[in-house]
Amino acid sequence: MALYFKTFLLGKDGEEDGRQDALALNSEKLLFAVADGVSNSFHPEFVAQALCELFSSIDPSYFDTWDSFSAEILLPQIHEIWLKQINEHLASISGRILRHEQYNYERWKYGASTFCGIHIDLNKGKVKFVIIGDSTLFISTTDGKILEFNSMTDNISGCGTDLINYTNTTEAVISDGSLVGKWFINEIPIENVSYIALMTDGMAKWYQKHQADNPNSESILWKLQSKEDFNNLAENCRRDGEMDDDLAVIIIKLSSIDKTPNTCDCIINSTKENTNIVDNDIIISLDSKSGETMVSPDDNVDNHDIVSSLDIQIESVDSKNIHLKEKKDLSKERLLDSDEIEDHALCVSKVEVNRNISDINETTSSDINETTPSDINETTSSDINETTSSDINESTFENAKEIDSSTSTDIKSGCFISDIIKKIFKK
Amino acid sequence: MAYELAWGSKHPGLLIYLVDLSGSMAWDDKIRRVSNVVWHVVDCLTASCQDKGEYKERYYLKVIGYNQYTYDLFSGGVDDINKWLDEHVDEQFINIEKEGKPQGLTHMSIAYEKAADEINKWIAKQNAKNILVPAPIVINITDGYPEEKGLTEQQSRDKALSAANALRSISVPDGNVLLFNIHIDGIAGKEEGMMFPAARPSDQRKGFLFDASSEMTSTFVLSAQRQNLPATTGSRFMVSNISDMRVLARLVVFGSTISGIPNVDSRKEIPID
Repeated sequence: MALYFKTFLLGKDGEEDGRQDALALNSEKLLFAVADGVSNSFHPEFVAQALCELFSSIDPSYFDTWDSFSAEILLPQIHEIWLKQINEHLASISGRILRHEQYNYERWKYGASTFCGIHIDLNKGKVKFVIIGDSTLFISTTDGKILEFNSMTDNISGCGTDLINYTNTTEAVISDGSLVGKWFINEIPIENVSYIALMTDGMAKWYQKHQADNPNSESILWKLQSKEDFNNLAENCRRDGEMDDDLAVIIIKLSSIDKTPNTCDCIINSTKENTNIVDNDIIISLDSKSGETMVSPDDNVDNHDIVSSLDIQIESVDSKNIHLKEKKDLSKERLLDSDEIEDHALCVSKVEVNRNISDINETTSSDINETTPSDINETTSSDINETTSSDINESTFENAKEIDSSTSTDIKSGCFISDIIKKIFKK
Repeated sequence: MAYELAWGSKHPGLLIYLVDLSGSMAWDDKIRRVSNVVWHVVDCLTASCQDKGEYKERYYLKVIGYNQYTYDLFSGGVDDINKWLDEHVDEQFINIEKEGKPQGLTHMSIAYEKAADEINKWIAKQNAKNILVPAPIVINITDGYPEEKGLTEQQSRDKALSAANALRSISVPDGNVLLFNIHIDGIAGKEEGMMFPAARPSDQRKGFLFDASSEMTSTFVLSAQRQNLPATTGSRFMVSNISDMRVLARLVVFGSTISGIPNVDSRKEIPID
């Protein structure tokens, strides 16, 4: 199973932090969340952000006991965090603004936020979710159905029927550690799921409308390649009156792997268990079933001045496999299946071999968890998806010619890994 | 559905306070207390326009004084309001020694006519800019009843009622102008108070106020009830013989924010964005 995701966050007046909307994810634990602060409450953005950040760091096993986890751990923490941030905020202002904020505090008393959080449990083959309020989860299946979930209705729609009615009233998490309404907790099998989308209601209303008009509208969102594309979409929709709220979206694309990886396949994995620390003198050894010439494992590699179009570098090497990753620290962002690796390898003309593999290993999962929504937005899988099959085709044979001219002497003195990779995949 | 368009920076609301400046308002310190209430109410309303330290132009305020004449006591958006509040740290919105000095009679008809004129100008201005217009709100604070020189009491009431009806008939897509009449007493217990009657009072003066006031929709009734105000189906936006200034402040806030009153249980009503 391969997962790709994109995230978009935009405040109603163009704020990049999403204003009262928030999102967070943990790509290692496959936890994803969006939250929408309730406008008529006091600093709802504190509640929304706290919900997303706390959720993204939980142990996914809490899904099995969500109600008690929520009552005993999550909501009290929300209360504590919100109160602390409010006190800090009030201490930082003075004059008329302080007076006005005190009015607002007395008037609203609490902050409030909706929430939608999911865990993709690959081991059990399920998507588990917890939702309160009108932030919505959309599940698209391979047979063309769209399921729509939030806590505001008992209807679970399919194919555009029984659509959720987005109104001005909502259930929510309250900053005093209570709920209005109750958690909607459920799970669905991951089999046949093609897309998962979490959205706050500003986006969900638009998506629902477009879904009814155009069943393939999830592809509209998936085709967005950058934050600018999303901003343009939002601007156009706001001008046409189709959107008028903060927007937070996470879209996840799922793709199953049919091919069983063989020993020569390269895998990029977001976990660390396959990462081997290699000595500074890189030893590359291959095990090619074709029986082609192998590089001697004793050969040292010099002259590493090659950079591929995708900046792929070797992460680690063992006797069976070369583990690759992109210089942009791909492991934080996605898993690639073996077909994807092949495609990337084909378009590599040259690869820079990094002698200091330990540098790569410094990336830890804590780095992932510290990622803020704005950081996430700067790195989307669109960056990765810039490589299309046409790109691959442009470079493959030309590079193949180049590579074929290399000799064993060159391999000793320099490094053209691509020909080795080519040999692995017999292209 | 009417009265759904909330005040917002893209479609600001228009709020007009009509303040009686007849001579009797000087008695029992009424005008000073009303001026103080207006300051606090406007301060509170403007607080809601603040978002992360930045004030949004969510409404436009006009305060019009009246006796035999009308006086433009204040006109401006949120920025102007903030400047005014900062300048009037004595918490008096109206300069009761100058243009706000109480004197003369209660020509309520010209107050309603002036409000209608200002609203029509506002609508035309917003329409020219293709800006949607939330239904304007007019709140009339008076200690008396229509009284015009050269007219009988009945004639004065009829003239004022005619002007009130004309004001209430001004319509935008969001709904008709809402007119809320608040009658105050200087001394508690002078006469029994009345809040949001659903049936026309038999008293002629109170009957006039009832006739001149907008009827509350079911949504408004619900909003009032959530704030422990005694409204029922068929209630009008009318109160009389209010002497407690805290109650006056509550009523003015209620009337001013009728287009969006949230509940602490996070049920978003019509949101103020």
